[in-house]
This record gives sequence, C-alpha cells and structure tokens, in this order.
Amino acid sequence: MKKNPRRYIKSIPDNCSGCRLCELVCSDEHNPNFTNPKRSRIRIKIEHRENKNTPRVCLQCEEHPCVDACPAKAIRIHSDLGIPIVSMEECTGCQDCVLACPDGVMYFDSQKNVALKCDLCGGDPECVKNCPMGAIVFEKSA
Amino acid sequence: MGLPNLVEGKIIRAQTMENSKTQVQIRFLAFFGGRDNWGVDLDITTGETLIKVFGRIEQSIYEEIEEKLFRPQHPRYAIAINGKIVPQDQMKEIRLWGGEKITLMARLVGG
Amino acid sequence: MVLKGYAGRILFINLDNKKAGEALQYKTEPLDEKILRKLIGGRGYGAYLLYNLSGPTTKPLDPQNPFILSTGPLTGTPLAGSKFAVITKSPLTGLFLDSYSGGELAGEIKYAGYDHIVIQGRCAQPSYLFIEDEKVELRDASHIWGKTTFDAEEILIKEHGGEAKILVTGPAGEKLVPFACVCTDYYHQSGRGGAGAVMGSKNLKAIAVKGSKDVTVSDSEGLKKFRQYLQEKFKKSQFGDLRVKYGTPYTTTTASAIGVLPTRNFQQGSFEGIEKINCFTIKEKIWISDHGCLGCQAPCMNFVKAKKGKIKLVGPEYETIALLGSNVGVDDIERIAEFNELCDAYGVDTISCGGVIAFAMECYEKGIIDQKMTDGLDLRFGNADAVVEMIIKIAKRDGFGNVLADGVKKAAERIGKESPHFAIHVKGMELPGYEPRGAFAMGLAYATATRGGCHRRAKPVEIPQDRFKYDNFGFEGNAQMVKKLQDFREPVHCGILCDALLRFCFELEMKDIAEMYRLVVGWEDISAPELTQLAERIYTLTRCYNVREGMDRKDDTLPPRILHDPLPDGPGQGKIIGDETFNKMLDEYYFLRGWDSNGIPTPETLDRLGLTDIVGALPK
Repeated sequence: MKKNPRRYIKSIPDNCSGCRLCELVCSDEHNPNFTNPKRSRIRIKIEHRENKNTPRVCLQCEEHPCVDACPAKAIRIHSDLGIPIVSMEECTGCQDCVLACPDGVMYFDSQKNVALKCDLCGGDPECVKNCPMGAIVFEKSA
Repeated sequence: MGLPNLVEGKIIRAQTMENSKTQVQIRFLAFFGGRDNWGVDLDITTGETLIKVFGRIEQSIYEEIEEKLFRPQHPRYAIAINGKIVPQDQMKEIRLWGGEKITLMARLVGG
Repeated sequence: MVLKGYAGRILFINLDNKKAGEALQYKTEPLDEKILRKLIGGRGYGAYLLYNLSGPTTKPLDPQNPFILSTGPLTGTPLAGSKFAVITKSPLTGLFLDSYSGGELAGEIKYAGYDHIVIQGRCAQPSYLFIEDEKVELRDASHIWGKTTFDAEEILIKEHGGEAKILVTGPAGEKLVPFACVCTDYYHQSGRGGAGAVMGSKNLKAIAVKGSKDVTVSDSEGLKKFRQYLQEKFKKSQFGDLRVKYGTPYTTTTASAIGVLPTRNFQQGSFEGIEKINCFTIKEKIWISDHGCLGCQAPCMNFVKAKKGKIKLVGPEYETIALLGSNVGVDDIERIAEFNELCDAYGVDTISCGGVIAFAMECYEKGIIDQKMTDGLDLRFGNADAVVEMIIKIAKRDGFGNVLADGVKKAAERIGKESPHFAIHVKGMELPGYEPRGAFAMGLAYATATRGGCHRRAKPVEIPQDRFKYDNFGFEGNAQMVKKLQDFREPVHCGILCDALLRFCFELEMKDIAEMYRLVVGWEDISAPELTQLAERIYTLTRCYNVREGMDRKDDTLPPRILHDPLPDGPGQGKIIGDETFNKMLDEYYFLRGWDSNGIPTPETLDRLGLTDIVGALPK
C-alpha cells in the first residue's frame, strides 16, 4: 500500500493574535457565500484575559480513532490526501467521532447536524494562506 | 563638542563660517541597517549637504537610505531636521551648519 | 429581495422600566431598502435611526436616548478587520456620537441575525440583556453591578459557558461619568463620548449576544482573490509592517520629533522624556504578545504586563501614551500602563481622563487650586501617584474627582479664573494626541469632526507634503485635505471595517471600498464617485443632527490656547493659528461641504444629496 506523506496543519500558539480570520475563511470555504465561525473546522481557543490564543485543528493523526468510531462508516481515508474525510451526505450526526477524538478537534455543526473535520482544503489550506501571524503552518513531513 | 552658533535653537547662518568643523546628531527611528532606534553622531564641515554627510555613514546603510528615501517618488520614510520635515525636492541639496538633530522616521502612523 | 452581507433586520428593545425575568417589549423590523443604498449601514444608517428616534428634547441620560449597536454589511465576513459602533446622543457633548470598537461582538451581532440593535428605555433595577438569535431576555445584574469591567465580563462569560460575547459598562458608567466607555473582550473599548454613561443611565450593566446564523456574501471566490490583493497591498504599504510590529505607539516617536505631541496640558509639542515611553521602550520593557481584532490581517495591539505581572492589559495605545503620559508629564511606561489598566477597569476614556487631569495639574501649578481643593493630592505634572488617585476619584465621582468628572469644559466653568483659556476641548470633547499648532490642518479637523474634538475622522498630520499641496502653518489646501480624509472614512464606517487597517496597512482608495461592497453585497454598479457622494451625504446628515441641537459656526472652534498662543519651542515655535487663518480654513471647508457661512447645510445641498425628506426642516 502506498504510504502518503503525513500532512497536517501545525499550530504555533505563540504567534496567534486571536483574530480568528482562519475560522471565517474556513467556514466560507466549505460553505461558499456563508460565514459563521461555528461552521469552521479550525477553532481558536481564546483566553482573552491572558491573550492566550491556541489554534486547534485536526492533526490528521495516524491512529484516526474517528474512522473506527463512526457507525455509518462515513469517515474514510482519502486516497490522494491520505487523511480521513467526513462524508457530509452520509454523516448521521451521532457525534461518536467527536467523543472519540483524543484532542477534541472534531467539531460539530448543530444546525446542519454533521461532524466538522479539517480536510486540508484538498491540499491547499485556505486558513494557512490567510493567517497574518504565521500561527498555523502547513506541515508536510515525510 | 558643543553646539556652535546656536541662539535659542536657531542656527544663525550669518555667524557661521563655512568650512569649520562641527557635528550633527542622526537618530534612526525607523528600520535601517537591520536595526531600528539607533543613532550616530557625525563630524561634518559646516555647509556640507545632507547627502554628502549621509555618504559618510556605513556604505550599506547609505544605500538603504538612497533606496528608501532619495529615490522613490513617495518615500515611506521622512527626514526631519530639528523637527521640520525636509521636503522631497530639497533633500539632497539641504546644507548643514552644525548642531542639527536629524531624524529618520516613518511618515506618521495613526494613533 | 434577499440581501447579501446584511442580516436584514433591526432589533428594537424597549426596557420600559422592566425587572429581570419580566417579559420585555421588543420587535424586529426589516432594513428600509429604499434608503439602504443611500446610507448603507454602520454610521450612515445608524445616524438615520438616531435622527428619527431622538432630538433636541432628548437629554442624553434620559430613557428615551437610543443606545444603538450598529454593524454594516461587511462586518463578520471573511474580508478584513470587523468593528461595531455605538451610536447615541453623547452625555459629554450633547451631540451626535459614534464610537467604534473591535472585538468578537462585532461579528456576533450579525450572527445573531441583526444589523442594528436599538435599545431605549430604562430598567427598573441593575440588569443585563441576553440576546440569542430571536430570543431577548432581561436578566438580573445585581451580582455584577459595581464591579470592574474585567470582573463583570469574566462572570458573564462563565455564566454563558464562553459562548456569548459581552459588552459591559464599568463603575464610571454606573456613576454617569460623561466620558465613561464600554468594553468588550476585556481589552477593547468604544472609548469616546460617554457610551458607558448612557448604558449606566439605563441601569444596563451589560449586553450579552450569542448567534448561530450565517452571514452571506455575494461572491465568495471574488473575496478570496480580494484577500490575496490585500496581502499584496500590505507588502507594498508604507506602514503595514511597522503597524503590526509596534502598533499605534509608533506614532510617539514621530509625533515628538515633529512637535505635535501634547505635553503638559498642551503647553508644548515635544516631550523630553519621550524615549522612556515610546514604542521601542514598550517592546523592550513590557510587551508580551500581539493581539488582533476579529478578522484583522494586521493585528496591531500589544498585550503587555507591568509591575511584575500585576498589571496586564492590551495597550497602551498612542493616545493613552500622549494624554496620560506626556500630557500629564509622566515619563514612565509602566506607570502609563497602570493608568491605562485603571481606566479600562473603571471604564473611562483614557483621552478625556488624561485631558481633564492635565487641566487640573496646570490649575494646581498656577495656584488657581490648592491642596485643600484637591483632597490633599499634590497635583503637579509628573506626579504619577496623584494620577492614579485622580483616575479613581473621577470614576467614583469622589471629592475633587467630582469637580473633574463632568469633563474639562464643566471643570473650567466650576474652577473659573483664567482656566477656561487652557481647557483643551472642542464642543466639550477633550482633544486627543495631536497638537494643532504643529499642523494647522489638524485644528480644522478637530473643529469639524462630528462628535467634537476627535482625531479619527481626519488626521492630516500623516500626509506627506508631496502628495497633497498644503501649508502646514497656514491655510492653503487644508480644507480640501480634511474633507477628503473625512470622506474616505464614511464608507468604511458604514462597512463597518477598521479605518486604520484600510488606510495605513492596505492604503486602499475609494475604488477598493467600492469593490468590497460589490463582492459582499452584490451591488454590481457601485463606484467610487457614488461612495464619495455617500460620504458627503452622511457627513451632512450627522451635521444636521448637530445643527438641530443648536450647534453652528460658533462651536466649530478651538480652545483659546490652541487658537491664540504660540508654541514655545519645536518646529511650530512662534507660529500662531489665529482667527484669520482659522476662519479662512473654515470658510473654505464650509464651501466644499455645501454649507452656508454659519455652517448650516443649505437646502440645495440637502436636495443634491437626497437628504431633504430624511432631514426635514432645520433651524435657521
């Protein structure tokens, strides 16, 4: 089996200003012409009082417990990207994957009733392109 | 070296003889030579032009000043002499008489 | 018609003497699409609302005075730094007030489904509003009344599980200090003009907003390309990288160098201690990390810690370093951070607070007031401990603080003698951090800003003289420059996006703003000339509001010191603005605006701008 290089969005919290532009562009990218940060697959954990801002997004981990947790088999490894992708049409909104994620970076859209997972925008992540601070970088390790 | 020929902060040109030795202070409040917020005191001969005096700062910094200040039509930086911004068209010709405080800074940002 | 960008609705809330838990009177109305393109949103549409809902018989602290939270079609979209505005009648000036702030609340108002939230009336007891999409509730605030803005916000954030965005007024707002501010995300303020006191007068401690709706845009793909265009503009800009690196404090260095930094109650234009309080010192001594507003590509704010971490805040901004630093003679950046944190905690505008304290210091040093009057405080310039005590006294209206707490204009009336000569305000609003005698156009900008002595509508000092031909110490060209700078900001303040970001970091022009509206709202034929006319329309509309309050040419003036006294040193040394030069600038400005020689918009101008029906009859 072909082994894909590990690709994921790496977070550098020290650089994050808490602007959340990544959340806005992510939600728009995946729902063209519609924006609400609650539809974003990347979330910034913000502690305003200390200005501690932590980008939190799927690490595309090799164990991917989300895939195993899904009772509808709606989360499958993409053949080119080599990462788990949630099928919006097949997702039943049970949230088992949300619970299964050890890092808490599987999000949930309570309006559309589907799980929200980073899909690297097909290989050219929009959030990384728009971050003014270099707080998220696109890692492609071998 | 003191500040020669200064009366209430104004340089009295009539009382200054050309070709005498004196000094000017240059402060870089903007990013030049890989640093910002630094300064240098330069020896000058009275009557020298600004551009000639700048030519005696390290070559690399002078080239940066040339590139960012003297060449562009709308430079991002400004030179002020004793607080008065030097107009673009006078920059190269302006002459120094001693004791001037020359400041390089970005054209004011918002507050 | 489905509107893009806009939420499409205005929420009207009548507090109507209700208590927490009682059913509130509120309704939503659609935006008036007949005037939408004429006034767009934010300041423009908000001015229209304020014009209709308040007037000369409305006192700023009356229940009737609307407290309007405004956004625009661009707010909350993936475009650039979003802001919201508080629009109301100012307790400080009795005139039109629009006060802006960044923070997550800007987006959340749109996500809750509203473009504007209009609050009138007064609660029976200390309360706060909780707005979650269509649900609007009045909740008890007795557990947070009296608390600092920081503590009150922290409690409410916990109560709502971190999901609601909070706007809060501080103890000064509760005490109706007319320059009390409102705060959000702890460290963002709508500072000027007393929005906090309007909330306090309504017994409204806070507003919590939570939204689950989407904001739509017309052309998502186009916005993507436009964001790339913004990145390129940033790289080529004059100030972009400096703004991110240092923030507004960068201005301290240049301002002092060219003699426009207010020093010791505007007695001088440069400060000898500037090196200890400039942007480089901040970076060296107290800076921790960068902070940005919602959606902003050039985060310019500084999160700092002083006094071994006991003081933490986002700031100090240039204005605070000027008004609560050089203007009060203090040359210690950690003390300035301390002053800033106190102002934020109690909820007062740092500019007005610094202005009124500096005024008191000059009175004290001149012997017009003595230590008996100042409750024993040694109010000399440079006495940082006295500044700390004075801020608290003002916020609490305690003792001598109560003499100053109504602003410098009233303080001068109370103290009397020759003090009105150096009460530094325009229309009652204390002047911010640019000394007009170092740049005469700034004087015109202050005199003609809608809300009083304000620097955020036109700031001519930033313009290199090669771009605009103007006389720094005369009148030539100044009126044109001030009008053009004011006009640029209008469509941005309708957006609502951050004007500083668009001007300094992207160096955008009107045509770029038009493009933004085209991409978000879908107005295919919107153009720069249309936006310029929009700017003139809104500027004249807000002028009409003030004229209806009885304002005219006599109020478009400068403090006697600024108008008649020369600066003692610096580049402006010996130069006097004077009545003749000032009047020449003002005459030309009125002409360009289409107002008569008394500063009243003419019927022809109202007609040309399509304002006749909106404005009705103006006093002559």
